[in-house]
Amino acid sequence: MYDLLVSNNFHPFLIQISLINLFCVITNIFPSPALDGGLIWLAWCEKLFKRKKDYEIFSNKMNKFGFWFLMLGQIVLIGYLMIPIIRG
Amino acid sequence: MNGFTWLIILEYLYFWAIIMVSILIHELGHLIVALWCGVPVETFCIGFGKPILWKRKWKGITWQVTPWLLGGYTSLHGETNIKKKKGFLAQRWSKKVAILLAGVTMNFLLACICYLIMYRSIITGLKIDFALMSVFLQKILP
Repeated sequence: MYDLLVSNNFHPFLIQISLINLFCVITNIFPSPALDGGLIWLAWCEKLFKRKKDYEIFSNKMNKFGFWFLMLGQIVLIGYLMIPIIRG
Repeated sequence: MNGFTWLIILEYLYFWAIIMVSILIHELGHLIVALWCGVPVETFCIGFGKPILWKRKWKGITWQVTPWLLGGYTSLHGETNIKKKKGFLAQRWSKKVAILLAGVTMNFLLACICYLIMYRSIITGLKIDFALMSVFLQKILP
């Protein structure tokens, strides 16, 4: 399909930009710590249970944990993608 | 390293440049809506951690770039403290959700602009991108 798109004069840069941005939307909406989805979910919980102080404590802890969780995940993913290069 | 390895490294750099554009657009979305909702923005950063490669203060916002270009962040006033007036945590939930959704909305708008340029239809673009995404995931997953 990709070759078909390129042969029809569609610019690969635009295809990649749209693809990455769509992927960004899907992953960010996912309710995981430190991602926007997780914080949106927390904001909804705050509205439902009306406990602002708990929201503050929980969001701070979730962001700290989530940041390192995401960093580790990125390093593992980059490592996984770099294996073919290292092996030659 | 042979030519093929350099080609792969260049492809990774190209891929990384595309990701950086996406991150910039995403963070700009948060920044614009936060300012629109009246929440002061403290820092707009491309990359994480230290050392800071470039830093400038403009319109009360610290704009900076760090070498760990795996993401970015927009630091809002009162992000960790609920007692700060005008801070992010002190806002109504609807404003919080608007600020949080702004990033993904900007990403989606950028994707939509690309679809309109390429296919003149957002629905066609979404269908093609989901098909491409499934092909890509089948390739990288074991």
